[in-house]
Amino acid sequence: MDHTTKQTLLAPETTGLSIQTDRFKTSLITISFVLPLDLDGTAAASLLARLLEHTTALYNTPVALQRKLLSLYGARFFTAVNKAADLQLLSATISVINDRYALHGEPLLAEAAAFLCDALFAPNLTDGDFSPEEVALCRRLLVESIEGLLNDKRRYAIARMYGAMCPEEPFGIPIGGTVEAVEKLTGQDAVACWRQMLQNAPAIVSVVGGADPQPVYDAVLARFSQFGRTPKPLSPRFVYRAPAGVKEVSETMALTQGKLVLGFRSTVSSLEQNNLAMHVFCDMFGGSPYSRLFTVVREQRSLCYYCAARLQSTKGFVCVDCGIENRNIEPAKEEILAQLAALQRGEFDESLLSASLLSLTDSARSVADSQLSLLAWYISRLFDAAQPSPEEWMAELRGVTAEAVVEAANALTLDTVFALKANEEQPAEKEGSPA
Amino acid sequence: MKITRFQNEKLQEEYLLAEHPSGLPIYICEKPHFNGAYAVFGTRYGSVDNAFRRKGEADFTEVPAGIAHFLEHKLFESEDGDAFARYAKTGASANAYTSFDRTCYLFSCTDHFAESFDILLDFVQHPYFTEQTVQKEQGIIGQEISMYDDSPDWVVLFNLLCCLYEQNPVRINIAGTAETISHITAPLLYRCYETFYNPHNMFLVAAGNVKAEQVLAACERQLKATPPLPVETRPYRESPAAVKQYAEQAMPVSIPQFAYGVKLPHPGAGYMPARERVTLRLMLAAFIGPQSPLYNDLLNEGLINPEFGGTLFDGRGFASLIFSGESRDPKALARRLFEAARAACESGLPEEEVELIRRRFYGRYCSGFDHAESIGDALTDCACEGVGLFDEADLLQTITTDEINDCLRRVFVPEATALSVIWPLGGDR
Repeated sequence: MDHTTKQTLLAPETTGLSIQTDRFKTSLITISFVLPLDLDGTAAASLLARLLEHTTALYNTPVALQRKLLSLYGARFFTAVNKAADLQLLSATISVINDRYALHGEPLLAEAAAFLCDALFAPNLTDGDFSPEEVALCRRLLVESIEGLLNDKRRYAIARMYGAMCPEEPFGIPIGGTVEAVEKLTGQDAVACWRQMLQNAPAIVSVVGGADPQPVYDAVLARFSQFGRTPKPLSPRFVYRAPAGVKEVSETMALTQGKLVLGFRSTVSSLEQNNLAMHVFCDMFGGSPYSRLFTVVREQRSLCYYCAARLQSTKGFVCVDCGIENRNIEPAKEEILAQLAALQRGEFDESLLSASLLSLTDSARSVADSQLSLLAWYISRLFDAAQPSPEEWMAELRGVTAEAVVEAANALTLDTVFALKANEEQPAEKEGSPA
Repeated sequence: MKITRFQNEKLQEEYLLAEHPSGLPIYICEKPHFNGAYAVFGTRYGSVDNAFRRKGEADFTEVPAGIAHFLEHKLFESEDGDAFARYAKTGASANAYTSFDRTCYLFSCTDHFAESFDILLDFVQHPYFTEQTVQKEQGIIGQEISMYDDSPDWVVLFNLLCCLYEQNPVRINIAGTAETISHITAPLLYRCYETFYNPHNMFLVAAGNVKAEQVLAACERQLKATPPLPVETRPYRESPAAVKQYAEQAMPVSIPQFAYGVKLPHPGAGYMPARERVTLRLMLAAFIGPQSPLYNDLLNEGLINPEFGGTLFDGRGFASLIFSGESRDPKALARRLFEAARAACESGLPEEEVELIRRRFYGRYCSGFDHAESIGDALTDCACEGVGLFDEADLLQTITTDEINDCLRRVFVPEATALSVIWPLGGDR
């Protein structure tokens, strides 16, 4: 075994997840909270995450906080808010080199754990509120981050597709919410979100590395005890919403290359059942250089520069996206659907299936080589019907048959097509006055 | 085969460098407790090598911009299929990239390393180009170029490089343009291949769960002994000053994107010395890292956001400092950065600050040994730049604050700076 895991119920709705491995020179601690996902809630959680990352009561200026991290040999500290099906996870993480590599024998892991606890449990509040200056700054940064999605056209197009596909589902809400939702937030909204999170949200304390996790658990539990914690269980449910027809949405922008995104719904969610065959199908369809989308749509027919399929495991969604010229949008769409239909009819070689099984096995085995991948593996499966280790997953993968792949392919229905079209008439502007 | 072993006791790390009779240097770092292995077969040939003369030739051959990258794409093809189809039978994840000064073919895997390694050695040594396949690739790469044309990060960088450099080919887009790649032909590709894919100009790296014996045995079987082929790239004039100090363009972006550069004295045809490079990186981090008062002032003044970063942009024959990110007022930001740099030249960066940065670099250096890919990439840099993997650990301990401050005083020259901005379409400038 390259690692061992142990889940411990530390307190009601408070789980300790220990991933023991001695192959790294660093250790990682993450504390995650499970929160509902709604527009105002994600805006508040995202603002809170930024404020918690910016300063703490002990390190009450960003300069002091950053200097502390430098003194811990450049420990990486960050907060994040991510979707988990129709819920969101707010996490704070610190990664630090192991004590044995410290040049002066400093107890780095203990200091890193204390730092992380300070960041989450003792934020920089004055009279029960974040400072107006910090709130204004973090609000601006959050707004710029939301607006900044436009700068990456691939991510922008995928987000637009999911927005159109899931108007009634929390999953369709972008993390961070909207500019309008963020701009009306106050420091008190962030404080309320923080209190609510510590008091009511299920929490997972993860420790990845070779050290004993118990001192970290003890430190976190001691901090929790100050907040009268009465968390309620919160788990996502899978509801299949059969598409009533295909939604077609488009937008035109001054680009040289457009984007085409197809959103499919399936009846298979990892929340309810083992979805290994869906993983294999998705890889064969568009997850690799030997996949049907890459070899046919890109290589044989030269319809686009990239064409890839990705599985959203908990929601049962498959998203196909391409970088494409306007004139190829319709032919590419037809070819993508034709390739899906071929897989649905079982028209594929054994070699495609075996390539996919080999590649997925390889990826799963490599998970143990990265602390963040190990953490992501277990955290992303927290709500799943099955929570296999990478080794168990690989063992089950060997049993996936061509019939199971065909069945997975047939669980898909096209829901939404989003096209970001290039406005070929928009002139490029260049040159200008001196600075 | 001459084999040299290098060790670092504190980090408990070691690697070896084997000099293969073919002329190819082979770097191997065994990490038997990793699941994954990573291999790179590369050549010191990139987009900057756009005019060259082989020994005995009277004239320089000027090749179309983007040909090194084009060659990288085409090398995956052989008469009986492409390398990806072969890797599909081993489960490895394969890729390649072309930068300004190198082209690298790589794969990572957790099983069947020997088979994947054989594929890598084989396809990189067996070019197969026809006019028909070249023509087809022009379409695919044309679409890749279009994608980069829409990327504000990419456009803002190349607009800056065109401001900073007059003749240095680093100013030319790595993938070329639709027009330049239309002039690429199969014979030209063969000529570039024969010139730069000579084992004496190449390197091999293997890191992670690999066995040195196995790697070296495969090299023995597969590498062809080839006489060295001295190549000269065309020299060019490059003044220490920027060609022009400003460029702008409008694109669909949410907030202005900027790249503010300081051209560093030309390092000649090679790389900047390692000591100078580490000194510059320490200086940058102390000057404008997230712990600096300057970074936080700029954040509070609304001039930057966390996308901001300062980096040493360097390679064979070029070096600049580049500050880039998003700003509502890039012109004011550029002024503030320059003024702050001049002020820091006067006051000097404090010893205490430098000591903290030194710690950070050491910590990040340690954590780099946690991943086969990061070790392999670091060894790739070693192969290209002619340095050792453990040199940085020593340099971090010996570079003094005085050296860092001297470096700061040398680089911020007004004539050497330029600003490139991407404005939102229809926005207020």
